[in-house]
Amino acid sequence: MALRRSIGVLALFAVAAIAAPWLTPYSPTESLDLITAKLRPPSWAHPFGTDRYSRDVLSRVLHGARVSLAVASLAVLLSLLIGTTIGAAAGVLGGRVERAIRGGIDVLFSVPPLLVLLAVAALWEGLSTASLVLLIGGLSWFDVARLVADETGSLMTRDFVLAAQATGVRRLRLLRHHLFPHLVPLLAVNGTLGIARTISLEAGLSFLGLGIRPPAASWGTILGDGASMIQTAWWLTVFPGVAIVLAVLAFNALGDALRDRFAARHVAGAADTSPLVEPPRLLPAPLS
Amino acid sequence: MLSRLAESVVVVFFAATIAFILLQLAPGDQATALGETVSPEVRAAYRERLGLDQPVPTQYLRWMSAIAQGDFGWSSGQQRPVAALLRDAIPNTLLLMGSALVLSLSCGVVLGAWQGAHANTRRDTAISSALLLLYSIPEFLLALLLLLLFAFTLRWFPSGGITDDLHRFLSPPQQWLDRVKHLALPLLSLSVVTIAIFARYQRAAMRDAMTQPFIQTARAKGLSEAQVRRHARRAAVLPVITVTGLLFPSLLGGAVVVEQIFAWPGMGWVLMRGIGSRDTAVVAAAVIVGSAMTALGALLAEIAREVVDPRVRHT
Repeated sequence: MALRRSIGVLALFAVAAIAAPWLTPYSPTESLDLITAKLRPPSWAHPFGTDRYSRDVLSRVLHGARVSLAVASLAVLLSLLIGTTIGAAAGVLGGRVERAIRGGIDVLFSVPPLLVLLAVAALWEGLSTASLVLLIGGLSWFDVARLVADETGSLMTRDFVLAAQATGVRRLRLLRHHLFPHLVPLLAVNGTLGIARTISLEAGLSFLGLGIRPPAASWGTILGDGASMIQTAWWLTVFPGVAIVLAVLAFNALGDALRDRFAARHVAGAADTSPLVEPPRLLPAPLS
Repeated sequence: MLSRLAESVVVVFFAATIAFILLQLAPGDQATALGETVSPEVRAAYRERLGLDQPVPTQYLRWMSAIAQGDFGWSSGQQRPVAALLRDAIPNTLLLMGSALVLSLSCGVVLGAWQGAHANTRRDTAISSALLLLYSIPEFLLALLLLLLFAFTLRWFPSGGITDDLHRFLSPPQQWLDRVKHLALPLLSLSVVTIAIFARYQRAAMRDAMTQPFIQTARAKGLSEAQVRRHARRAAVLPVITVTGLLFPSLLGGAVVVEQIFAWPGMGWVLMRGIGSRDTAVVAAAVIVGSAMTALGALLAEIAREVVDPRVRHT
């Protein structure tokens, strides 16, 4: 139920993001009329009102969906890629390599990503959207790597892996064909929750004026623009805010639902193959 | 335990190195931050005074030894040593984060323990959905909404700062009230997400604990349901401690935005002002101190775990 509902909401968001240019009658970046159409409360012509440059907020929120969702999805994809590679290397190789990787991850965990992001954004003054994606992705793979390392480590003790190794399957092939399918549930759950987390992270960064650069706008940028006028122009905060919460909520709910579904299947599936092996850990930390 | 302590030192070392690399890679330095109006000679002199004309390895050694001695350089924006800035700001951040941790731990644990003991009842599901919603509101957005509602519309709480302008002229009890009133909204903005996180973990831990054999034993002994739950609660506290240790980076990140919105003069606020005035020394110091705080939090969580769980000791 939750699964279907959250997929429905996300599908709506996807449609809105893809079709933004056709759904919106106004440009998200151009001023309409600085004298008569500035800071208008919601009306029929402008359901979400207009901002201080007389831009239509609905158009900005719809176009913002593109930026926010694309940045979050791409960054998470990158973090999954890095995390899986490093985590799987640790799990498959084991021994000294694994210890080194795990030690490194422990250290990396202690450096708060938001602080590094802020520092980089401040020192370079204005990052392009692409480098923002690279940075966020490059700073958020640690927990994926740790989970993948745990999971592959425990998979390596399973009979089917031993069987594959006994028949002479090489490591890379073992990883791709035998281990990776078992990692998919973990990656799907973690990735979905990760997108939720990254939407908030990017929004926070853009809100502080250090993320997406104008004239492009993500939901965080719109909120940052409106924050100083929150007393007089509530619509600049409330509408993009609702968009963020809805999107984050939908991704979180989807992640939860996927986890429940996979967990049920895993427990059922684990019983007949190897009752002694613990079902893989599917509970990634819901941290932001 | 010792290895854990060593790890914290490694973290600070690593963070200091990252900060150094960032400063080296960044376009421009403290001398260029003086602006275009300054003549090249002055700029060169400034570089020489700060040691920016030295080769990179020398700069790195100087940087590390200065940080080891608690010297974080000179804030060009504030015209004060960064260490002095930090000394003013860190207590405020610790106050905010500490009270957020206490509030969210107590609320989250109580809520989650109740949910875990009544797992899959209708009320449990309702609370879970509500928590998922709260968990999905970014701190800065919550802060803005609270500001809009309680500071601007209802005018129950002040909109920012740590004390009122007239704080010095108030009587001691009124001063307390003033402080609490200023703390309320930032605290709430920071705590709501963490309450939800703690409750989620506590619920899962409690639900799992309730299925353990020792609970059956307790029931079979004829203990009352309340006593049985007390048994379970002790076992269910562990995952929450682990999560607490992992939570510091996100709590710190939340504190940065919340401080910025409520003009709370802590680390985040200092950092954002430093960013605004191209004050690179402050930015670097914030990365180092933030990492040190995170490492310290993880260390404390580890100690707490050893105290609570005898199984973790001596491993």
